[in-house]
Amino acid sequence: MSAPLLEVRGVTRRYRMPREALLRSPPVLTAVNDVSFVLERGQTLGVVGESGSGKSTLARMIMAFEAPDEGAVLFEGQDINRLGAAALRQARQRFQMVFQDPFGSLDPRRTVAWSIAEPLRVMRAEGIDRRIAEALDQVGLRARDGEKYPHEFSGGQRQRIAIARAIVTRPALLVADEAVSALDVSVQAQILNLLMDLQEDLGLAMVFISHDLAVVACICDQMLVMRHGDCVEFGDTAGIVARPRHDYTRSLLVASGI
Amino acid sequence: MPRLPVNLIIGAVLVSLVVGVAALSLVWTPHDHVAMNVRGRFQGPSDLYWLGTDQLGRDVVSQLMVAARNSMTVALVAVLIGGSIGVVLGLFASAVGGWVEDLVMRIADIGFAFPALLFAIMLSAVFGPSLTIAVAAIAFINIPVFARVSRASANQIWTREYVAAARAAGQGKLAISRDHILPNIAAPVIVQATIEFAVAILAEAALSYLGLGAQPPSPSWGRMLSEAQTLMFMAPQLAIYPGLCIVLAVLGFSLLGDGLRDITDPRLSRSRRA
Amino acid sequence: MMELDRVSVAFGEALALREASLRIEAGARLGIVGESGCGKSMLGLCLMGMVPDAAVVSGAIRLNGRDLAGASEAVWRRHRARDVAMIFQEPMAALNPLSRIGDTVMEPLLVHEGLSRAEARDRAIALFEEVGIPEPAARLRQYPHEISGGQRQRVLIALALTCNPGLLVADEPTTALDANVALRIIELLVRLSETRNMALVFISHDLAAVARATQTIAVMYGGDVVERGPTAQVLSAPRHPYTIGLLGARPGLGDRGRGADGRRRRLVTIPGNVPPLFDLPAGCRFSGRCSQEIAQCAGTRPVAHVLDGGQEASCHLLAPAAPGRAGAVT
Ligand SMILES: Nc1ncnc2c1ncn2[C@@H]1O[C@H](COP(=O)(O)OP(=O)(O)OP(=O)(O)O)[C@@H](O)[C@H]1O
Ligand SMILES: Nc1ncnc2c1ncn2[C@@H]1O[C@H](COP(=O)(O)OP(=O)(O)OP(=O)(O)O)[C@@H](O)[C@H]1O
Ligand SMILES: [Mg+2]
Ligand SMILES: [Mg+2]
Repeated sequence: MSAPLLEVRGVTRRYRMPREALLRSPPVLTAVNDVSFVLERGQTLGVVGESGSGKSTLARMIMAFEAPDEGAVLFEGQDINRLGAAALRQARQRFQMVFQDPFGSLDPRRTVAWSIAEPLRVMRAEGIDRRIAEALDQVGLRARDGEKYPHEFSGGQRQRIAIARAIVTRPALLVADEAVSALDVSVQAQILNLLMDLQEDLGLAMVFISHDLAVVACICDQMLVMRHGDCVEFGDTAGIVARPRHDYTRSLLVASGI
Repeated sequence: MPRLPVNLIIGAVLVSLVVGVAALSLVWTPHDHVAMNVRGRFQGPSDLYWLGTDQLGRDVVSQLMVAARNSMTVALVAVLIGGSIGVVLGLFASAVGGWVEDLVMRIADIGFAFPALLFAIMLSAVFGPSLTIAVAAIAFINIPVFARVSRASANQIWTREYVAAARAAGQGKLAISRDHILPNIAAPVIVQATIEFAVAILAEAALSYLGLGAQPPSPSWGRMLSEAQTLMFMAPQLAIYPGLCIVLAVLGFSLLGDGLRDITDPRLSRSRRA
Repeated sequence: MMELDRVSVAFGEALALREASLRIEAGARLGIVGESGCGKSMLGLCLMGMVPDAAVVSGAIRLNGRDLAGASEAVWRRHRARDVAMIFQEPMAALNPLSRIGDTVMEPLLVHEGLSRAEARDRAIALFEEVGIPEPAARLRQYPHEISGGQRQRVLIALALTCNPGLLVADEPTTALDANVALRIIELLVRLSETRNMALVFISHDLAAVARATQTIAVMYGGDVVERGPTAQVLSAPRHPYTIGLLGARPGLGDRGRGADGRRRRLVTIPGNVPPLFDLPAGCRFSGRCSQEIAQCAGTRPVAHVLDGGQEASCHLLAPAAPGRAGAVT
């Protein structure tokens, strides 16, 4: 039996807040507290929770941008924080992320095509131009848009550019942090359909962070509810939507009208 | 269209004047700047010699023009060399981080505290005075300045998400520094380079004043100044002209640098958003 | 209070906004919805006088009767923050990464309101509490990249509210917020609009949020306002084919899980993509994607037809002489 694609084992991450007075020790904020889950190939895990509950921090730890203070992140059975620099770069070609803030995640001085091609160049892929055009087309933009700079697009278009960059390498794992939040429902549906196609055709697994419970309920197999850094509920999406066990989950469901 | 700051405009005008004159001297000067005319010493301004002649009967305008070119060349080469090394060091320190960064920056601090003149005198004592030594000394003092500026800016850029995105793409630190950090710190580095240009002109003038820069017969504002000093009572204008040139050039580049900083610094441009 | 009169925004050949007209009365709340890239943010930026330098603006932008379309940056700056304020769509792009969020929020208080530092600090803390940022005092000293996406968005909301603006343009203010917090922000905006007579332009793709926050709604497509009217009425009985398609694309419970064939159910979309700006059809912008297209759609621009209850839609099918009336298909 091979190892699951992604296993998160009791990760905890603490941040030091700015000190209030010079001599006092800075207060510590536990952004993620002892969160665990397992994600198999082709599956989607929805992560929902209050704003500031540690969802993006969890994503950054999965992507090995930050090391957890406790616990471990295992990608195909390997602890990504124990990999050497070269091995980590190798592994990174197989997991990609869509950042919450599309404008911040695109280099303002590089054309869109350049940014999308970056992971391909690292992989020394063939037919880069064709793949850029294809990726842009899949997210509903034109190949010609590749020559433009990020500031020449609307917010939702930038978000789709970020998605194009993340899927262009056909990764095994996609961490999508509020990846469709700036899109109107129709374009959002197109993108979600695209992600579901990729899942079925390529076995893409996703960690899908969102505050939109309606979307999570539609596309996620499993669901993890976070609050103040803790995982308050984890399980089958249909089960949680039908029978939420925690008060907070219930209030979220009520507020989003499901 | 945002209004351009006044210092930027004045600086740009002065700089284009000085650079224009220096460039012109490559192809044309009113007279041969080394041609002496013993009978025509200490002439006043005339149609032939616009600002008169010096103690050896050489045309002052031609000398000032060639000196401008020499001064620009020294400053350019020195800032380019010092700036490149400094930026590379700064990028390196920022990319590696940890104790390496601390070490590089502490060494830069020491270099920062080291007076350029003293360093030039030291080098001259060992290798003999020459223009190369002057350039090397000025370049050397520029290294820590640029290392600091680029490290500080680079550290900011490293926190941006597009850098994280590049890491997610599997890019290494070297490639990220080259592809993302360098283009995005270009603005503060260019501003600093303009300001350092002014400092370099002043340093070059000071060194040649002390006889440690350009060697005769190659003219230089600093040496013209020191030569004229002995003749202060006979021909005060000979000291005033090069002095004025130094002031205008230094002022021009400083104002230009300040002006560029005003329009590129996000702290000031923020008022356009809030 | 503020009025856009046939305002167009052009990037070279491409029209991001085509002769859009809009009136906003003091205390009124207007929602704007539409396809991604259809010009919603551009409309908001027009109200702020902050259209990018690359664009050419034509038409009249009137603030309290005064045309500011060609006004200089200096004139606009006097109106910004106090007369019109904006919550920008992308917090990271709008916040200065080099300054602490406290300083950013306090700056307009120090500059425009003339408060002392201590007063400004207290007010910033109060604003942060109002928008629900936890531990506001400590947050003041954090940098934008040190806080979560939703917290950044709320910093921006607090920033827009610092000077009690007469008109607030909120561009997707709740995208990064969970349902509970979003609800709270919407309640705050509605309360401010009611108690301070603040006008609100609420740009969002979240139809439920628009329904809660606004009284009237404008639906945009490809730089045109295609339908407008009372929010509840437009959302329950849309008449323009685009609005009908948009409402149909809302993910519902029926889309959940997997179909009979074991594949995940696909969501309903409007077929096709918005064509690029330089390639939009000259007539109705929606032609080419519209399921009920008739001959004149591609070539002639439809005029706005006034319907019952103050609803208006720009569609040839709604003309009295049209073959099949569009509303009938719902
Ligand atoms: N670099 C940092 N330094 C200090 N605190 C941080 C840092 N990054 C995040 N935090 C804090 O950690 C907490 C969790 O942040 P995180 O970005 O993970 O939230 P989130 O769940 O993604 O929220 P949102 O839905 O608003 O994006 C927040 O309170 C945030 O302020
Ligand atoms: N600087 C620019 N240069 C060229 N085109 C631009 C520029 N800025 C915006 N655009 C174009 O103008 C159109 C309208 O943009 P706008 O930001 O108003 O869209 P939006 O309705 O806010 O979309 P979203 O919901 O995705 O934010 C977009 O198609 C965009 O590509
Ligand atoms: Mg987040
Ligand atoms: Mg927008």
